[in-house]
Amino acid sequence: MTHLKSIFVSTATIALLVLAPNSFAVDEIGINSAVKGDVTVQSGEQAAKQALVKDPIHLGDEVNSSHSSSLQVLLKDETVFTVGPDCLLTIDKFVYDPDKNTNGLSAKVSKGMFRFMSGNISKSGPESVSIDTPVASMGVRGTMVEGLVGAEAIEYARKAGLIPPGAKVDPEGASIFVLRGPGRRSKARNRRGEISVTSGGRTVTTRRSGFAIFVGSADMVPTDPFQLDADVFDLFNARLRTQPTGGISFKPFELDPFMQEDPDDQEVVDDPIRADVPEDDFDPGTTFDWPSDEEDPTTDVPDCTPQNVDYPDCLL
Amino acid sequence: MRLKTSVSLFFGTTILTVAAALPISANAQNAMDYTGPPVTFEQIYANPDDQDLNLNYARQQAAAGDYLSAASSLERMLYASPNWDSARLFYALVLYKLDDREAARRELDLLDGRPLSPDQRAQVAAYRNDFKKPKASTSSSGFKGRIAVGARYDDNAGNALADTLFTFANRDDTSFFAQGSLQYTNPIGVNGLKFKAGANGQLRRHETFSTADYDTFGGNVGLLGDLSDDMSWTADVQASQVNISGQKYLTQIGGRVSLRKALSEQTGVWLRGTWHDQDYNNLSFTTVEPTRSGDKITVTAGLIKKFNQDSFIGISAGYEDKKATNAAFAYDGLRLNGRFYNGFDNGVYLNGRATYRMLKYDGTSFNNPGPTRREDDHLYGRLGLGASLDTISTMMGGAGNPSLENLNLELGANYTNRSSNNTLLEYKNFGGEVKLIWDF
Repeated sequence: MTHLKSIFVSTATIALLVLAPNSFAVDEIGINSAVKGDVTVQSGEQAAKQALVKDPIHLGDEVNSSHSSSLQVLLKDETVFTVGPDCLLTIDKFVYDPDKNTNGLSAKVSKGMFRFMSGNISKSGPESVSIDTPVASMGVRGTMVEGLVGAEAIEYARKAGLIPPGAKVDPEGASIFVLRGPGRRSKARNRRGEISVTSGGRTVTTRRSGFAIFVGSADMVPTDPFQLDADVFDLFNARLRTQPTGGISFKPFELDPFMQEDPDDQEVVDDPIRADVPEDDFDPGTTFDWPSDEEDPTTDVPDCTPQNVDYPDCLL
Repeated sequence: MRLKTSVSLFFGTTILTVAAALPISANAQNAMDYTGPPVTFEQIYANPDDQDLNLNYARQQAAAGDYLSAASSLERMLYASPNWDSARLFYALVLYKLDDREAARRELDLLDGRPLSPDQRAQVAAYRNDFKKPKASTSSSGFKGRIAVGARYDDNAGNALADTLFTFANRDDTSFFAQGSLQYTNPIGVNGLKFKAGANGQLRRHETFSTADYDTFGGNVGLLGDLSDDMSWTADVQASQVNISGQKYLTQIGGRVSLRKALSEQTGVWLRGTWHDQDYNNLSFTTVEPTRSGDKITVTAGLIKKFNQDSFIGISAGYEDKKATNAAFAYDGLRLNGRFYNGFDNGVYLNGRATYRMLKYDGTSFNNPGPTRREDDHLYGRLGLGASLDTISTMMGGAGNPSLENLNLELGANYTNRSSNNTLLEYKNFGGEVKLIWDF
């Protein structure tokens, strides 16, 4: 009997060991693809552990970064989350089937700074991806977006005059969302970026690269989109991106020819100062209302008019 | 039937022309330029820390125009190897192409003092310089074009070209149109000198009064270049023709010269002069049209103010002088223009333009001879409200479709008013139109 019990326990244990990783893998939604500093990931009831490259990320995992640390999470639909310093992120919904249109992604950023780069799910529409902070919900479509949650957001909003006198703000949840691209001048085949921020019963949308939306509390409506100051850009760049450490250059290579275009040859078609407006103004031939906008020389001969029905030379 | 045939012919010709003229799209061309081994996302997912794999993936995706994927790969590489200067330069250019200029500028600044190759250093300098200067560059390189189809209703269709000329009965009418233009610009040598050529044309067919149908065709060839970082010039020769009721009515040949100066990133001014030799022909139902022939000269100065990436206004003022063998058709006068464009955050745009002309004729009117020279005031205005089909689909609750981003549906309202000291010449028209526009 004891022998049989031993066999059963052993078999069950082996079965669990074999099956556990597979059943665990069902919930795997991504991996840690780059790590800098102290970042922990807590899965379910397990103790938080240091994030390592290639470790899986599961639905509901809490990603927590400390000061001067960051983590890049690569999801299975090619979405990329960069968790900046002092950030707490949870991905609480991830449905992805490349063959279906019912995909969705939802994440919560409770504090700190983050960066999001769209993958395949966000191609469906802004309602497919939402990133929530304590005070607002952001819909994302085809974009790079960055966010800052907490007291620092208030500091910059005050400096920019975005908080009305007497308005109550939430020092822990106040949020700034910044659209980084692809912008109007983008040369990418990626869709032009768009974010929609909802709070206090109002939704504000922007498609302008470099523009931000601020929400001070859950009761406040989002501000209109505003252009972010250079110093705030610097803050995002410093915390979410890398910088050389001063060592020797690593594995130099020359860029492919298609990346070596002169910036002048990538002149922006949509920029009114540089191209479109003057071109259009200068060239009556390219304005499609040519005959009716009176650029057309043929409209310079107005003597025969509909009213002038008696003039013999004008009659049919 | 005639309408159908003409529109089909026009579209067929235009599509063939565009297809022939656009050898291969830039992205497709670049995709062929990537020479490394193919890399799948699954490989990256399994080996996110494989630097060579990430580099090839970034190159492959950038070649295909997927700069978002390229950027995330490069970020991974820089996390692991922050001193990988070549990767940082690559990353900066990818960000530039994504229109994240602030981030691109920051990455280029970080390459200051880093050991780069001479080519890479030159590239960093070129891009950094590009950020610094307010420029007046005249056009992008390569092809760009537009094809549009639509329908317009006018409550007094005298607004249409032919009616202002031939006294067709005062009537309302609906017209259908197809329009197309193609512009090509290419550097030809030193000092930013570029060659440009363009062609455009349109067909308009009326529902009830086909005699007023007209076609226009035009082309231009010229040069453009920079005088300095913030000043540029354009010079070209132009030829165009207008057919009415299928008969040649006007041919004109001429040229124009323009100068532009950027006062800042937001403000530009321009000056333009044009000269055209106009040659009018009689149609089967006219007799005096050739007496309209003669030179026409215009001089115009304007200002453009950009408020942000999606919003600008432009104003200009000019003088026009038209000669004709018959003094009743010759005039001169002041011309004022205004236009604006505003793109809203939800992707909808509103644009408008208006022209006001004050004309003094050299002679009296044909239909009202007397001692008083004819004087006219002409006002034309148009408002357009549009959005891409992608945006419209999203607004209606659909999933949207990025491939429809360059296909715009536009609703337009037109207004024309002519007042004159000869009241017989006064004229007014309201019109509305719907237009499907493809920019490429």
